[in-house]
Amino acid sequence: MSTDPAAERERLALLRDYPRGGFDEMLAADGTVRPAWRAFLDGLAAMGRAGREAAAESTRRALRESGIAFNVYADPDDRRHAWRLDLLPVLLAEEEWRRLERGLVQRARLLDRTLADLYGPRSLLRDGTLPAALVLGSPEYVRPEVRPDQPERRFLSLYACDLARTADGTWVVLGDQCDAPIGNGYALASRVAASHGLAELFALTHTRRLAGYYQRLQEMLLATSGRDDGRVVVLAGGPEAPTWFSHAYLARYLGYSLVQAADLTVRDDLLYLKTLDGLQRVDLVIRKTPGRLADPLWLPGSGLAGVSGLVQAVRSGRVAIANRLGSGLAQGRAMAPFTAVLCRRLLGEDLVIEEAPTFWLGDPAERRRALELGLPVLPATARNDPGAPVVPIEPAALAAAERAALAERLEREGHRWVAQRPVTFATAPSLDGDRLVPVPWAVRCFVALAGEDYAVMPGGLVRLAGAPTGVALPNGFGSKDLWITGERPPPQVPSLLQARLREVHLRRTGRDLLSRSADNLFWLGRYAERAEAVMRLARSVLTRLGEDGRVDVEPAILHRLLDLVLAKGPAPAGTDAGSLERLVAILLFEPRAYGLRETLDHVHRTATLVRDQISHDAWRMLAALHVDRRWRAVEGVLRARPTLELLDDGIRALSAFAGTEAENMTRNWVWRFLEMGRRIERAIQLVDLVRVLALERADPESDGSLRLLLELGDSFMTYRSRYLTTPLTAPVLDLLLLDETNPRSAAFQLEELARHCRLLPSEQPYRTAEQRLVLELSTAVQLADPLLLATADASGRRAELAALLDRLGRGLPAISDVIGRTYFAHAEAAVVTIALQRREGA
Amino acid sequence: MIYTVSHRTTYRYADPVAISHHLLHLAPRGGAWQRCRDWALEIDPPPSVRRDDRDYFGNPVTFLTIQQSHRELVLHASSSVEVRRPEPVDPGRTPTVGEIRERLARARENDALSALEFTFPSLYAPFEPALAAWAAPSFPPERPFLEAAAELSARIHREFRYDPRATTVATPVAEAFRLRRGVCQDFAHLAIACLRALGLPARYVSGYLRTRPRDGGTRLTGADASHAWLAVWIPELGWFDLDPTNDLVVGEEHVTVAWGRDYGDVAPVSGTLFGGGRHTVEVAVDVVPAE
Repeated sequence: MSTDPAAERERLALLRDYPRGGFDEMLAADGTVRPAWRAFLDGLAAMGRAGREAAAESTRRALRESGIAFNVYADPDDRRHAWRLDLLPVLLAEEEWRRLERGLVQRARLLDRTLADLYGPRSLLRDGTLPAALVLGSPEYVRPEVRPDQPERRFLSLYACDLARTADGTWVVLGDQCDAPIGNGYALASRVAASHGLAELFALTHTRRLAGYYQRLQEMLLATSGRDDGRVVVLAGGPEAPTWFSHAYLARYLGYSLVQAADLTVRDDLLYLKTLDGLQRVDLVIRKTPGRLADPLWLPGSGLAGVSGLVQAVRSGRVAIANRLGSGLAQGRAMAPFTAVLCRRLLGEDLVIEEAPTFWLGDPAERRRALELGLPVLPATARNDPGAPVVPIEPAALAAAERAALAERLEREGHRWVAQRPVTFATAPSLDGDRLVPVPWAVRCFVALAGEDYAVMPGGLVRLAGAPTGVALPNGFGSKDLWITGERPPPQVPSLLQARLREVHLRRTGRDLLSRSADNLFWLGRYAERAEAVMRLARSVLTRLGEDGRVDVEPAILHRLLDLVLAKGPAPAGTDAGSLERLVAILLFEPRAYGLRETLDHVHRTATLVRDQISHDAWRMLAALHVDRRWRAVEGVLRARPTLELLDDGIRALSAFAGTEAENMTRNWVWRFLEMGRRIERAIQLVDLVRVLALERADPESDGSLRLLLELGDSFMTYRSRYLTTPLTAPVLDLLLLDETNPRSAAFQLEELARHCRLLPSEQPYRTAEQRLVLELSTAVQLADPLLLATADASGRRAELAALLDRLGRGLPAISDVIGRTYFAHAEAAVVTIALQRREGA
Repeated sequence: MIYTVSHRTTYRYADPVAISHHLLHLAPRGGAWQRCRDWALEIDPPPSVRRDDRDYFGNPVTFLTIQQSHRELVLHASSSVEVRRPEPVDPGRTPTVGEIRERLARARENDALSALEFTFPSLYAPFEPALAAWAAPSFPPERPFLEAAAELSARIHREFRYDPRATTVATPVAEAFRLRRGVCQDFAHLAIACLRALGLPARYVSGYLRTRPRDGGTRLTGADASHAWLAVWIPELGWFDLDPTNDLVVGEEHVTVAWGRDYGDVAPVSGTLFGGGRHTVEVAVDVVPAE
């Protein structure tokens, strides 16, 4: 307890008018602060308002930088897609947690045994413990997994359970996540952010860390893979899915490849990953896609979500899958009405954590009762994930005719539905200005098989409710972290991982670069470079506008440069595009092809897709660029000074990204493809600039064009230091086109490209198509004579320069195409032609 | 009756197929009234992987992977099958519709469980309210089930027209119902969807039908087609086959290949291809009596 009177006043202010109702995590019924919260509350008070605001800001920043969102492509200010994390965690004392832990382990065991029986001997159906329609009528019953002769198979390697504390203080289960438990990534990102913002309180409360759990999880997954050097992949849908962030974060945290169905292929009963280095065998799939849609051949209706032949590969025992296909049978609330009986039948125990009261609507008596009570109705095996909630049907909200239609439907397919009595949630404190307010909450807990038994993550993903009652884990009202606090500092987790790493073979290359990722990295390089070029151009134009603008170039030249970039996209609205200001505004702020706004979107999209491949710092720089809302300013009036500052910031961010790429990335293929994209784009941009500012000008030396060319080509200082003169044509062309020592020159880009191309994987001993193309261009550049390039004939034409630029202008996009065709082509999806033949008998 | 069956399927692709996976239901299954004496499958080009197994419903199933580039795939299944159907039961003496429902509600033992499985909607036989309404008059609870099911089959035969151009393999059952046209596959799915909409068990049967030469002429080689019909379940007696396309009592002219919930479970050939572009299929079936 604090003795400082100021802190004590602060503490009382925090607790002022804290409403009392049902069970509250912080305040006991008698109004005293529960022991687990005392140190935390004192610490929170001692921080003062300013300290708390700083902590909130630091948490927010950590979250934004992680890119956490339901739609990773969305505008980060869009609240519908934003992840909201409450500053204050929910604190639970370790001894209370131990009981929950016991209950969660029991439940994982129970559901695993149930699934093993239902996909094996089915004794639970034959002795009537479970109604047959619940199982045989379930859309999640994956029939190819049924093996009556194999009663001992494991189904749940990973499991998550949604728990709520009710207003009277007892814990209940709200739902089981069995098919593909989702949310670890959100929980991890939330923990990182919350422990960042409240670092001192985190230490002060002796909160248990999550790392130990994930180390055991890794151990288990490795053991499941069956090889001590096994390849593990996380199979998920695309980034458009609301849960994608969670998968990406988890995959990165555990160090596994995040893949989509199209990245996998089955050959010879084995599962392979399509990588740049050819097909690589996969030993374990951590499945985040629906099990019932896992294989278009064996499970009709799977479509492109599935991997053809996966069922066969798993059946052959040469690839493991977590969770096993068909685990979705116990998903959601399907088993809830029966768990009490199942637990006694299969484990000989009573349930440690009770079930939120649930009615199976396949039973006529239960159905009648539930409908009479007007209880909310939901699909028995519904998923309910952050950002993708289950929406229960509320009979009370239905018109009489709709209610009758519901009753009729349930009569027919009640076996697929449950009704549930709403639970009144307990509350936990949240900060509202200077005082605390209670908020209803529930939590998703994560469980994993570790050796022979299950282990529970000491924490969870707390979800806040917008109403005092609910039937499922709430959605849409933000999250909290869950802290399990101890009396003493938590023991140091013995690092199992370290022990294992000592035995591992040393490697110098990353393992797998997916063909699809190589494609995205290449384009990330191109888009980042393109964005930088557009920013430099806009900056150069803006510095020459206005009263105090520099007047060294004819406005017509600037016009021509902007026109050239804009001409690559659709024609601007209106035949007369207007003033330079207007053109710059269009270029920067209008959503159009080759415009800055769209280019930055492309940068973010491609970076998101390869997030598991680039460094955290690199990601943070690009994420900061994306979250900066100034780029989404309303177009129209262009205010020169703020826009210039913005452009300076943007160029700095992109340069920093290029810097981490150059300094911090190992020279593997990830880096190589990023680099190749960058080099090609830089050379293409340069060719355009030289065309406008040297080839097209009658007298580039005196109309300011060459100076602008050096500026845009970022070579002005180099030129100055060499020549100490005003720019002259031959030396400028030499510096920008031919000089291999200038990292902004065409020659440098080609030399780098040649080096990368030589090191790309190839099965043939002679030069590849892209190597020949690069060689051709770099030879042309090496053989060019700067004086001849600069020489104009009587009519003012520079024929040599024109020929070289044409050659580069055609050759560079051709290199890009060849690389695309050669290395990214097998990223193509399979053509699924199920049902090739029909029965035509008469 | 003993038949020699030949079923040849030829796929031709516009572009080379680099790799393909296939699942085949081409081997006639055994049963109480049928014995497959021998079976052979020729595959060209030869597959890299071939696994012969049984699926969930007990049908023989073959999984293939062809890993060499090809523009044409030929699958030729040939078999010798003996069919001995039992004496037909009297439909009027079978348990009533109401008794069947009762029985399934308490399903525990294996045969009732396996019948219950076929009362739920499936991919190709989904629930359609219009079908339920159309079928319901044939199924009063006190009526013998087989009699009612036979009437349903007869109604489909009477009210629908056989028309191969009206539907494709992707035509939903509701659309075939609206058109009142289709082929055997559509009629089987229609009948199944009707029965299941009323909570009654029906399964899809895929196989062959021996066709008679027309007007006493000679039989045309390869002119026969693969066929499909349905079966309904009667407690203690088992499954009874009905052919709504021909309104025939299914006897020794029907050769069973496989059964499942619908076409999706027992498609003769399904596949996933990498490459291939457009393709054409040619099917030739011969069902010749060996006696």
